[in-house]
Amino acid sequence: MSLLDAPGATVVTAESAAPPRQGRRGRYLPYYLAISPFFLIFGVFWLYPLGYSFFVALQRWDGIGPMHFVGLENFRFLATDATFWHSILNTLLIWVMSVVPMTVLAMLIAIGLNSTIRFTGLYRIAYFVPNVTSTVAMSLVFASIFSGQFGILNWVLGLFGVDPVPWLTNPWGIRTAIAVMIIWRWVGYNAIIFLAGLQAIPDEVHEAARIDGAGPVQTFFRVTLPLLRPVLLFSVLMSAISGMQVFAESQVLVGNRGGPEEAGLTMVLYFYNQAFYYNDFGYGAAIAWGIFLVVVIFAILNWRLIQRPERRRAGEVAP
Amino acid sequence: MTLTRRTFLAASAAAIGAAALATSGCASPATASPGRLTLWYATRGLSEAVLRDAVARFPAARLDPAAVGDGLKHRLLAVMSGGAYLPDMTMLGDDVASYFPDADQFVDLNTLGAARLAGQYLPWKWQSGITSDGVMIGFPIDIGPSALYYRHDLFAKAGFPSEPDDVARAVPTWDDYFRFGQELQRALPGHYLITDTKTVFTYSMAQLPVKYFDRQNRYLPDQSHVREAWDRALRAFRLGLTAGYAGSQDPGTSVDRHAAWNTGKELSFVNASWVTGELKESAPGTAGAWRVCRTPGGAGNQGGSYLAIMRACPRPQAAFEVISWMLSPENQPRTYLDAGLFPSSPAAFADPRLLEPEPFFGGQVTMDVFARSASEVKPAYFSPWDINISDAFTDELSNVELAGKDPDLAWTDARTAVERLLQRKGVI
Amino acid sequence: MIWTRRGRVITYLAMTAGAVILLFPYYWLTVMASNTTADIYAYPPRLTFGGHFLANIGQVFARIDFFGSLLNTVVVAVATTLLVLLFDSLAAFTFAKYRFPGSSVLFGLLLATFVVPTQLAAIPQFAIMADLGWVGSLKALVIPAAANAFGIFWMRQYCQSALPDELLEAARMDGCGFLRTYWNIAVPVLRPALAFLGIFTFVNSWNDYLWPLVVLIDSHHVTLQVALAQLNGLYVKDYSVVMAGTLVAIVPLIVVFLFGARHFIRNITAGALKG
Repeated sequence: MSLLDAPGATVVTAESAAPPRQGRRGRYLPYYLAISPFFLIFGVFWLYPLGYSFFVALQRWDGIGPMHFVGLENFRFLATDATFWHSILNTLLIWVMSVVPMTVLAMLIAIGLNSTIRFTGLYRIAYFVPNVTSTVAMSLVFASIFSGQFGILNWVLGLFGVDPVPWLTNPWGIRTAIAVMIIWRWVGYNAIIFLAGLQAIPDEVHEAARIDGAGPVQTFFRVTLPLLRPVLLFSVLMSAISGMQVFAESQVLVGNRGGPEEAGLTMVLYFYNQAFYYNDFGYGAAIAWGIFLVVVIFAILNWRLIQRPERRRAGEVAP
Repeated sequence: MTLTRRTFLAASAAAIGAAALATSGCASPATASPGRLTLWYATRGLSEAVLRDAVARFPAARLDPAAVGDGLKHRLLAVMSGGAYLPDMTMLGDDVASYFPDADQFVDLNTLGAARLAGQYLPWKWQSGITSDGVMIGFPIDIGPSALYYRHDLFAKAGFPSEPDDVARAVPTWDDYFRFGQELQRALPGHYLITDTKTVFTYSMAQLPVKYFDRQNRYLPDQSHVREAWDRALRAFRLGLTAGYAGSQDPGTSVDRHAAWNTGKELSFVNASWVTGELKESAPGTAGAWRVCRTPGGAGNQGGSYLAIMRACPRPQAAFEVISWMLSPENQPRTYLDAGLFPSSPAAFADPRLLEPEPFFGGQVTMDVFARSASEVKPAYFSPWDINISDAFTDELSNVELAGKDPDLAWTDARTAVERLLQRKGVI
Repeated sequence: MIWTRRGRVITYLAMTAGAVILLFPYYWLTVMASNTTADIYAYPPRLTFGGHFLANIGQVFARIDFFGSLLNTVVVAVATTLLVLLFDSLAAFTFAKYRFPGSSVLFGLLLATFVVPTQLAAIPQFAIMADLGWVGSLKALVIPAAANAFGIFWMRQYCQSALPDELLEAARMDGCGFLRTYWNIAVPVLRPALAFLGIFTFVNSWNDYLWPLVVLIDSHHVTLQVALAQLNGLYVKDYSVVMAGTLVAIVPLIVVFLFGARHFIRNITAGALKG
């Protein structure tokens, strides 16, 4: 059960789930009370920044002095800003370059974790630990690993006769290095999620496949993987949302402006750049809204990808 | 802004029905520690020893120095925007000019009697903390006079001039330096004499009396001097003299540069004086091998900080006393020895402690070179947008250097980016 | 799952190799923390430990208030995690399983939190804190973080798949009110998700840097990440000391994680196996 089920299960209506309370209005009272702590805090601390962000996007403001109202000027600039579109492309590229290897590796690791009985606790901890440390703290470590002429990675590659790879001075090297940092951080986390999914599959299913004569690889692709689909897609969706907001990895590896060809300039880094480095809060706020739009569109696309196959599957054999 | 915010807060609180929050409407303090004078500075941007002495020397001021790591600016922006918990005194970096449009947030140091101290400091540095309206925001802390750092031992090994005076004589201009570099590379292949194109551009611009704007904050129509610096940087690249660790200030690529110092791959480089600390820290094995001499093309300045007093400070005169004492010519030598911050007061250059032979530089007295460089810097006007503009150019230079971009396209893109930026800021 | 002996051996080897590669950055971190700054830039790279570990750590303790800021960080992280788990699960459960007027609108409002990047939000939030008088106080770190929209999305998703209507229906039949249903029925089922969200929140709170930097005005009462950043000099960064500081800051987090991990992972798999 749990993670394996399709998202979007039915919702219990108030009539069937809640006992009738004093009168009509009173019926919903527990629900409002339940969500009120969250929304109270949200209203006080997040609603104002939201309005502020919108308000500032309509101004020309350096963050210190007075504001000048400029209407939708900042948004007009944004639409024609090649760097912004470039940053969207970078973010998407880096995301694809990180999510694909990460998912594959996480799946492999999950299978490994599922198959190893000895040391399994140690393995799980070891794989999860990278998720626990902050990116900024590990920045110099990764910088010295990826350094072009004197880094460890190139030194190791050199032992195998490979020429030094310009990780941090070549646009694709930069994207790869950032993607590797992201993979490093999240592969264990996702492996644990996949592991839970794997362990929820009853042994009978695999037994049945084995009896039918399916080899391990066939079993995996024909039986296991389809059963893991909800978990997989959930993981991809979560990584999509956080992938759109990549900031620290880029900033620590290639600095505030994304390096050569601005290859590492992600959307959030560009926003940060404009607002805090170029003292242009108005434009920065407009960029933030642009990012939001991109994230929403991307999330909706992702969601559609999850929903449609599931609706199709609903008509097929239930797990 | 305060009124709107309070109204908004009250409205949202009321809407959700939390009356409790509305009662905490006490006025927030204007300064960070009422009753004390808080001083925000970047770690190692001031001498700890001098700060300690200042605390002891001015007990009535109740000085509270607070070191802030990276992000001082972020916090400063937050408090300035919120109008509360402002520091009484704060350090400003070499982006001091970006605060000029908002000079009213700071106390004009001239009103506190700064003018009578002007003669004790380098005129161009003093001037750089003053807006075009004559309001003095920043009191000079340190400067970054440029010099040519080079490996004495490797120059000598290759049979080239290696004494500082000889080297300076051999490379009076950038073109001479390039020629020198080419010959040296033939003798010692695989070594570099220029860190990257960004260095050439930055220090070439630093040597000029004019930057991007005139004193009335008008964008200069004639940017040919910028073009010259640009072309020079590209020439260095085309001649193969640059090492190509672009953005060598960023952690991602400084590893390369530091390692190059250690292995001797970087034979020489032009830099401001503050790199000495970095050099000593990351390449102690090369101690004794380095020398400095005059920058090719003339003296320039890069970097340097200021101390400012914020408008919210209730005792600006007391604050000024503290600042002027800490940054006085008498204290600057100690600051230099303690934290490597180059003095901005010429009197400090003559302090005997600073004229000791330095083992790291093989017994050379580097103060001779740097002091001369400092006094030769041509005063120039820095606009609030200078850093943004020079970034646009250096970014495109590194695109050419590292990403193989077409130089003409890069130049056009840089100009376009600058123009769009200034349009958006309402400057042109 | 792997049936052959050879397959088993390969699996163990691969898993160990993978773990070693993944943990290498920590080894390198320790190496850097035990050497001098200059050694970091040696080539070929120095891969072995040096003798400066204690000296560097001593520097860290001398230059910043390590234990004070550690305590602050622990307090903030624990408080934030508890609040988030409580508020988010309560709200997510309600959104997932119950319909009430305005629920969709309110849920959609949560999307709004994605609009404002944290760096931008820090500015107006500081102003709010100034009005509330919370500047410099740990409250300013804990309370706003308790409204974690991502957590609600996560938990709502989990609630929908893990809590079948029949279960809630049965509870209602037994006379359970809303709160009792939540506490006695939903929470035990949600334990794995709570464990995940808990770790996620705890780690994020522990590693949060920018907002604590902005709002904890008093340099003597800050959290660990802010205190460590004070080691970064303006012109010169004493990297070996910074690395030592980073290492020492990671250790408590890993210890907490080690203790919680067994519990956490047991819960994950237990929850997964449950009916």
